[in-house]
Amino acid sequence: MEQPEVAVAAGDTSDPLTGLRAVSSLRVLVESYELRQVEAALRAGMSWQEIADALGVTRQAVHKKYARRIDPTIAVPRRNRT
Amino acid sequence: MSRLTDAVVLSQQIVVTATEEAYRVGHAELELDDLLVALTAVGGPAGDVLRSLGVTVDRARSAVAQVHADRLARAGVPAPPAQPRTLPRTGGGLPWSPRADRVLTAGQWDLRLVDDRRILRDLVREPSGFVAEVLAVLGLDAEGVLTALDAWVPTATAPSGALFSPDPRPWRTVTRRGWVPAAPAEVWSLVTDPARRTAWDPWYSAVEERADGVLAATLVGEAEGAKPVPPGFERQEVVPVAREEGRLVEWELRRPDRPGGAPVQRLAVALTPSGGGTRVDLTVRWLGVGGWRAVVGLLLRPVARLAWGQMLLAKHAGIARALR
Repeated sequence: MEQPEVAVAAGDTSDPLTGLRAVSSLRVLVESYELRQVEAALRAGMSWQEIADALGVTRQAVHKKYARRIDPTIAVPRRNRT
Repeated sequence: MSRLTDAVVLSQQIVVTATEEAYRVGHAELELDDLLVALTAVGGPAGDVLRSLGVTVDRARSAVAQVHADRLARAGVPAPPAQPRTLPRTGGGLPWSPRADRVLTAGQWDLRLVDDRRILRDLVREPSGFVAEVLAVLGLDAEGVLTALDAWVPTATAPSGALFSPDPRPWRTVTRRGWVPAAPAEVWSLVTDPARRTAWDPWYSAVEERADGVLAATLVGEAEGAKPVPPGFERQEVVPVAREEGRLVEWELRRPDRPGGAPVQRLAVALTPSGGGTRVDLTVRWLGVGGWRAVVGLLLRPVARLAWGQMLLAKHAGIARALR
């Protein structure tokens, strides 16, 4: 689907229940993509700071959210393993 | 085990399984869909009811994925299905989403609700309607599921034989029961294959079968992110002492670097076909030691029994994880 078409359909407010449920699934999808991208970035050797910059949040925020959620086999320097 | 212990063990298994499911599909939080899949994967009454309605682990997973895909498609967002992630050796915790938290914690202190049907009822009635949508994809309606939950009667499967081999010595014994969504033959080939031991037994980082049939095992330690193992405990010999083909296997655990200095320990796995899967009874037993250690052992016995119970649950979770 072309991007403008996606935007029109996702922003369609004529059926709010369908729209709200779609947004809820979309949120889950976005969170899942974000987690996978953070893991990929750490595997590629990016630092928490670089990941935070790319996401537009603080380093503390991204570390707090993902430090314990990522694949524990990823070797992250100074990651809290408790 | 008492009904209350059963209930505590079952809720622990549900949370562990749901957390692993959330990890597998890449959720950042434990969600309602993870709880629904977990109910089909643990051997509780809710899973019995769902299986009697044709809902297996795989069908529940694909119905959940279908609901998300349909919702997104209706909103015009194409979402290619993501590949499941490989579970790590040791699971960490995940936060619970607010709605999963409500379902898990509502009524948890009501001791009349000692089985997981409460969780499924709350999932079905949950106001976002997500689980009702999943049930619709599975060709079920919410009322039908609630009626089946009310009509459920216990059909406990007794173990098909002894849980460990006969031995007259004064063993101290701890048993934990579990259920896995796989046929007994599959469970048997997993637990008796030395090459797959590390896939389910969280104790060992490496296991090799020697020519005499004894398994030479290395305990997990710092290299695997676990606690350091004290000197003399790293190596363990896992000696088969009993085997009833397809039903019972038992090993004695020895520490070759501490001859005579460690209590005798055994681990038994007994399998019984049950409800389209397998009832797995895990038993650890040990012989007490003499001298001052007997006194300490007596004082610490409740703590030791709790610790052994937790160890068995971790092994059971490993078996279930390897077969899901």
